Order: sequence, then C-alpha cells, then structure tokens
Amino acid sequence: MKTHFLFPNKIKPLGWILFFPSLLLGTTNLYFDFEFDFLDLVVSSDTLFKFGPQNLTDEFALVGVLVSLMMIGFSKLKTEDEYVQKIRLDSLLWAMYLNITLVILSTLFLYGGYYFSVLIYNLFTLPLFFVIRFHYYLSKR
Amino acid sequence: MKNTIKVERAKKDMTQEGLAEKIGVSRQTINSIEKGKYVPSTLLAIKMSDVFGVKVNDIFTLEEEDWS
Repeated sequence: MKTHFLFPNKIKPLGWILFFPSLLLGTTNLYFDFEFDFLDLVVSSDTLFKFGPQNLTDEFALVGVLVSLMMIGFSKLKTEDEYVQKIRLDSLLWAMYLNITLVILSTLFLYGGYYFSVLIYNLFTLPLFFVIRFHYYLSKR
Repeated sequence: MKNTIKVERAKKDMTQEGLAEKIGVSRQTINSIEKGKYVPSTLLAIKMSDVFGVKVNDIFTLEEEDWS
C-alpha cells in the first residue's frame, strides 16, 4: 500500500515555524487592523479598485496559515506506516464532521457580523482541525 | 480477531521494537496489532509469518464477531 503524496518529513518543522507568525499576523490584522505598509498595493489612478486602497497583509496571513497547516499536517512522519495512514484517514474524517457541524450550527444560529467571522475562520478550520486531531491521536499512542 | 504475536515474539526472544524494526513499522503499530486495536494488512501479516517461521493462519484466528 503506497502513501498518497505527502511532503518529506523535513518540511514539518518549517511548517510550525511559518504557522505561528502567520496566525499572529492574521489575528492582529483581523482584530486590530494591523497592516504592513510595504504590502500596500500600488493602485493606478483610474482604477478597477472601487473599494479603496488595497493592502495584502491579510492575503499573506491567510496563505501563510494555509500553507503552514499543509506542511504540518501532510508531511511524512519519521515512521510513516499503515497504522499512521489509518490515523490520518480517521483524523481527516473527524475534521470534516466537526467543520460541517460547526458551519451548520453557525448558519442556523449566527447572523450578520458574527456569521461573517465564521466564514473567515472557515477558510482554515478544516486543515486546523485535522492537524489538532491527528496530533492528538499520535500523542495517545 | 485473535493473535499469538506476543507468544511468537517470546519464542524468538524479540521485543515489540525488534519486531517493528524487522518488518519496517513503528513499535506503536505492533502494539496496536497485539492489542487487537488494529488489523494489519496482508503484506504485514505475511511479513510477520516470515519472521516467526509460522503460518499466517497460526498467528491470526478469526472470531465470531469478525463475520458480522
């Protein structure tokens, strides 16, 4: 039984290194409007950008979080054997169930700004739940 | 499903770690198989049979609930 594509084991620590700054950046951007000035998009005067000046800090934060979660969750373990693959599969399923349940509950019970926040979190909660559950299973062994 | 892995290991004076190394898996995998928490693949079972010099059917036996 061959593994599906997984990143090499060496990528995993790099994922952790990328994750925390990206998460911090995203949080400060979302809640405190923190932005890096050098990430301001240069906009031409007669413009498509009807919504005003654009800054790329939030894009960087989100991509950083997503890429780092992939690196953490989908890189091979030191012993990547069939039992680990089973744990991976179980964790993926659990993450899906949890994510879908939370989206359903928020759709029914949250509105307006709260619901908008949920949509933003939902951009990365699936890989996040997977990483949490996967490592929980691993630590239980 | 029942298995006699622990007995076979004892016969060869092998630790879980030793067996794991021989067949290319982690010790946790061997432990979970012995405890009946995980059913190994055919490949792994045959490797065990090779290492122990015993038939697969003599290491693993079906139980009533395996048929449901």
